[in-house]
Amino acid sequence: MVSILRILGVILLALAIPVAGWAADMGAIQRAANKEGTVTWYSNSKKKVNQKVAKVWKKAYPKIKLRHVRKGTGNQVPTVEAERMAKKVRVDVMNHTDPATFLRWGREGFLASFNAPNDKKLPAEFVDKDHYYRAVSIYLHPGVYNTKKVKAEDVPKKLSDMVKKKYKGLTVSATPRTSGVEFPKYLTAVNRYGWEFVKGLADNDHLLQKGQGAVLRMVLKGERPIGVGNTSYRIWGAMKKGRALKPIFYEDGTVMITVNLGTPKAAPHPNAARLLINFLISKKIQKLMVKNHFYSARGDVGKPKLAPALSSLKILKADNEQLIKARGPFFDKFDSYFGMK
Amino acid sequence: MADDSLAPSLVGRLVRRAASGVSELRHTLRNEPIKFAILIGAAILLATLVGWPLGTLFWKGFQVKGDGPLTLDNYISVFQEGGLIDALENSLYISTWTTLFSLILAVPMAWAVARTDMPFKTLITAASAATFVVPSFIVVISWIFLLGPNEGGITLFLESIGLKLPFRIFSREGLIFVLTFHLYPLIFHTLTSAMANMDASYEEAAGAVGAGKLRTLWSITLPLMLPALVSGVILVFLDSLALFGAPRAIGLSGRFHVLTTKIYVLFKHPPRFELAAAAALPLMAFTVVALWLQKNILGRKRFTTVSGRAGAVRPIELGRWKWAMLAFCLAVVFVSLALPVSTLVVSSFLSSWGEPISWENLTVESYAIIADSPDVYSAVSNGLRLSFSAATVCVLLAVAIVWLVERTEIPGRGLLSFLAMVPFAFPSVALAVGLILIFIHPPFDIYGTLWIIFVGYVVKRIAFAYIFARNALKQLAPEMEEAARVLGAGWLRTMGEITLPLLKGGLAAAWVLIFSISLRELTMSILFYLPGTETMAVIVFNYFEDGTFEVASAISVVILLISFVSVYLVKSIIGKGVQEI
Repeated sequence: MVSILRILGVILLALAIPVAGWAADMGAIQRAANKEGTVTWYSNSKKKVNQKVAKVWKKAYPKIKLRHVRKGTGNQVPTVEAERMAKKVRVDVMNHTDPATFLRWGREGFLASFNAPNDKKLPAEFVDKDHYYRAVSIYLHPGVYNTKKVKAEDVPKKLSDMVKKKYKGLTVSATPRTSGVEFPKYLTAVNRYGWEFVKGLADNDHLLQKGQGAVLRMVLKGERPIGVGNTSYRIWGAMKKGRALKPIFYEDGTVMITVNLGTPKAAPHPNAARLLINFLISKKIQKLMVKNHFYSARGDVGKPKLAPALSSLKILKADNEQLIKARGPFFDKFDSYFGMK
Repeated sequence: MADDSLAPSLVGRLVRRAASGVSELRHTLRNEPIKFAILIGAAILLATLVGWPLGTLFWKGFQVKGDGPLTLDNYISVFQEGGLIDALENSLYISTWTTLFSLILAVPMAWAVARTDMPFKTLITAASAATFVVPSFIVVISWIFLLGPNEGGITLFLESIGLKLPFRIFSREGLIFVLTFHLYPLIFHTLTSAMANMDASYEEAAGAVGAGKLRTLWSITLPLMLPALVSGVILVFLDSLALFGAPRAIGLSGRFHVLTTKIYVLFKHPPRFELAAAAALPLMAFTVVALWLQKNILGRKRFTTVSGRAGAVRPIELGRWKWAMLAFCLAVVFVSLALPVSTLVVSSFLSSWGEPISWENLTVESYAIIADSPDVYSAVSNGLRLSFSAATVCVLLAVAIVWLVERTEIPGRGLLSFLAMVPFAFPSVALAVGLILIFIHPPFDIYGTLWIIFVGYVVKRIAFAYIFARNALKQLAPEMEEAARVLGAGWLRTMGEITLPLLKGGLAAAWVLIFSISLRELTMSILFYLPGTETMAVIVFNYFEDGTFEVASAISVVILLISFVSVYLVKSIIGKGVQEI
């Protein structure tokens, strides 16, 4: 009799534990999160956006302190990997723009599987099948140009136009080796146009920078008035401030970037982490993201004010498997065309 | 036959030296327990802060993914990495020319400031220290917008008068230009502190026998300054080898790698930290070579120029030439500080960055935003506290280590020298990872607090203090300390009343440099910071990355002002103190 009760108890306990494919009991999670009292979030989003999110969080969960740290993908991944190597993870929730790293983390068993109730609100293509991660926001990677330096009729229409001689010495982009969002763009370009595209850019005195911020500075200053690609939220943010910039949505397609969100298995505050994940993909926060020029994967929150509807654009998506497999050799070959062994 | 006799005699010598060192240790423990505790404590602290994290990284380098069976694969794969030789060649080319040009700028400046009656000397000193405060990523951005081939301010100005820049900013020569004007203060400060300590009677004697000012400089002053000169050269050479921010920005655009950017590639997608130590080996080898060269160049010669016999330091009168020297110094300060900083100042007053300067585009809004931002206050406070503490601890620790190395026969002094110097050329990203590996676990669980940033600054910059303190101690005749001991003063009293006051000039220069560099440190701070531990450079970096260039520029200007005032005050106080000695 006792053993039957024990077996029943184990079964009930197992049912209570949220696993992939089972929607989590957010009430229980919140009670446990309240006891944890804090949650640390590494986010690649602007500090101002993180601060706005934190304000809403404080109202919703006053007992749990949200420690948000703005860390771009380039600094966030090494920080998390260093914590991981030290076998003592400090981060509870992280989001960044490198989908291949999330895929690798999931496969290496680093991430916790969590079926957030709000995962259901996202189209399946934006949620990992094992619920290791999901898209917290989306943005595009269009071209960009300085409207004071480039006449409307001279603006390139296609990505492939960038290798034309008329744009020699005028273009800039970030290198895929250090910019998480640049790799999917160049990978899709090489898939479509072959390595001739990269060679054409290199021969055209194309300038490489380390990240998206540096590219936008070059375009704004007019030193290189055409950016082969930049993050759409930066472009719209700058346009809203009155900068002389415009995006170029290429006729041959614009690459879409997803900002993924997940939590490590060894997170110090696992319940608060789950609560934060569900909160970040809630309607309220997704609306806030849209207000700050990000697209949302949710269908019920609209689109950024300056942005075209995604359905009106030709959207390109990189294959995650290819992003993982092609990475090293792709970077080496890319560098070699630019004379950097 | 000769070889057979050499080996035992060498071994015998080493054994005798070790035995004498051990007996000295025993004697110190018995008779001067406080001295023993301070010196051994300093050695243990250095080993913990530097040896432990770097040793752990090395150990991980012998494991698959830093956690598996022992292997040499990581070391082999690093040296098979394509392009490493090219990167090494670029690094050597850039560092050699940067050092040479820095010498050309810094030697006359240091002489003019330390030994002559040229006016505005404190201003020149503070300005050259302030050059160091501007974060290097901002310096590079400023130079790119001044010298950019399409829209650079100076490029366009030169073109308008029919001239052309002699080099492209996006090239190895462009990088040499930027690094020279960024790093020359290292030689300048090393030399000024040593020259200020110099006994003026040597130069006066040369003058009395009819030597001219230039001949005196060439045959008396500079040879006596050899330890400082060699140290300054080593600092600039190693720093230009170890720098990452400027080479990344310019090298990427100029399509070339240097060692540090090549190493950085190994830390990306996915980061392979187990390669960190292996990848840093070439840089560490240069540190060892530099220490070896320093030892051999200086040999057993004596450079004691502070002997207790000196009278008041009388400045050399330059007559009308003092204005020519001032013009030279001001020109260097103008290029190294005023030009890049002026772009920051202008940007900080623009309402729309990137637009031309006009009345409509001018505003003070960025400064209003700063005034309303508690983050900025907290970052300024963190930055000042961290830099002040790091500079102070570096100097105190360095004095103890240098004393151990220079004034005792204790075995392991070479290792202490190596530990003090090796983090200098070690890539900051790798160093940060090593520190996280150690300082995330009890009993030293300081990751996520200001303490780990403090430790990072101390470890990275202890070499500065070590070099300055060693130079200063080499200048000091040991007879003065011995005389004090003979008269019955204890070690602590001799240190407090004789040694430290006489080392004050060199130590103050080290303190100012470490303080200035720590204020702008970014690479480690950006990996370490969590809420509440942002530093000034982190705030500036984040504002730049978020596209708020005007506010980022305004914060940079404020940081620069704070630093300039701090350095000016310290130099004024210390300068007065030095004259009182």
